[in-house]
Amino acid sequence: MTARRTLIVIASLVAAGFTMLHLAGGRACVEVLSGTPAANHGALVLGVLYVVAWFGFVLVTPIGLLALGLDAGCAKVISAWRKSRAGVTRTPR
Amino acid sequence: MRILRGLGCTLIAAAVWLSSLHWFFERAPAAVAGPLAARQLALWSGDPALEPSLAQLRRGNPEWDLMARMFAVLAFANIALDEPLARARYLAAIDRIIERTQADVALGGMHAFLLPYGRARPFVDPAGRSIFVDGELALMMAAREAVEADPARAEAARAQVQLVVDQIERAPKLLAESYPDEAWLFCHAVALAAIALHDASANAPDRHRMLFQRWIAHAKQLVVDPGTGLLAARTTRAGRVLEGPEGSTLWVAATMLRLVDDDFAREQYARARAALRGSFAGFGWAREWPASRPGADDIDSGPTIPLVGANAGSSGLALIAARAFGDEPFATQLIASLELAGFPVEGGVHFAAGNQLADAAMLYAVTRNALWHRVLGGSS
Repeated sequence: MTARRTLIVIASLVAAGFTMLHLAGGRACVEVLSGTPAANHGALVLGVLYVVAWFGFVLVTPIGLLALGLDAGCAKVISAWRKSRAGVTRTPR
Repeated sequence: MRILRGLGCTLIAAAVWLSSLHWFFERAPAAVAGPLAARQLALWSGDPALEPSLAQLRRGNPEWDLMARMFAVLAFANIALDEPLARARYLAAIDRIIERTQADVALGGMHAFLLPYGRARPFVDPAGRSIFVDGELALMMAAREAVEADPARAEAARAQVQLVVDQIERAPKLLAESYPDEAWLFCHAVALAAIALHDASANAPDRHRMLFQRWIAHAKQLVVDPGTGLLAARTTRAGRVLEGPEGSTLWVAATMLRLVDDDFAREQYARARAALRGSFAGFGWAREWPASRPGADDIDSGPTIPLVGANAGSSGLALIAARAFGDEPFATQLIASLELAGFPVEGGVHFAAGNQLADAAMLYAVTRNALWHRVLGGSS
């Protein structure tokens, strides 16, 4: 698997994990952040996982996708530059 | 070469995203206040969700229950002053909170809102009262009177404020007990603000001027930490410092002390800001302890995020102070952090990372502080 594909997979997994935890009601279970006792152990675990997934979704996924876009743009520019340079060197004077 | 390119792209992407992320979370204080106020007002207007919400607070710490009521009353008073058409509804809610608190104190005494260790030994003051409970109740009653004087409630408010004055005056260093032989500076700042607000409402702003001057003089002499210049959090009744400066005390203390000695309060805010403020990429937070006076997480501080030292409780209360002192750059950063890491739910009626106390405190923070403006006039 290429690095690009790996990044896409990671970003997708983080987004999917966050969506699942959100649908499972994880957002309502994060009171532990302020020191408020969680309703039960399950809610505590769900809340902690949700916080991790949220910051992954807000920080890791967008940065990964932006980096992919930039990398793809760079690759295109470099490829075009190489082609043009090759064309220039082949052009007879 | 390809690895270097990927690394470079990731660094640029991180820089671009992190520097622009705060734009997605910045909100005007009024936009935060609207939904929070609607929910808090509903809770104190007969919503059955109130009791489970208070029970959740009490499971964590009975003090939080009283503090949630105090911040709700202060926020409602600010809104009532700013929105004359809604005043009657907010005043009714304030009266409900005060009556409920008076009933709880009548039933359970001071210990209704104290942690269990408050029963471990008797108060040194034979009156056996807590400046935490009496002071917060006094501030609620003074705020009510400041919004709209009610002859039927005026005497009770005056008596409650006098109770607080007497407790402070009985203490040899003007440090009354919140818990047996423990004087908390948070509670004193609240109690002194109650006295000042009540005096202002009674058109007698200088009635306790001498008490305020003596209290500030004692605090500077005994309670201010020599290293940081910040008020300590807790002393004995005789004035021996038990716990150094803490964000969860300082932000509220500075805000309250504006009514008592504005210059001292401003100095405390400036020092607290210098010692406790953190920020990155448009987000702000506050530490619970100055770097030079580290402490350990406890029931008052809540958890701290390692490395940056961001503390949820201190950061939330810092927003109250930032707004009270007109520090809009810091307030904007704190609101961005609140929206990012406070996990607002249902359109912002509640912050899931907190509880009813956090919601009430945040509501107080984002309302225009009309009560304080009324006392401080142009200087606010």
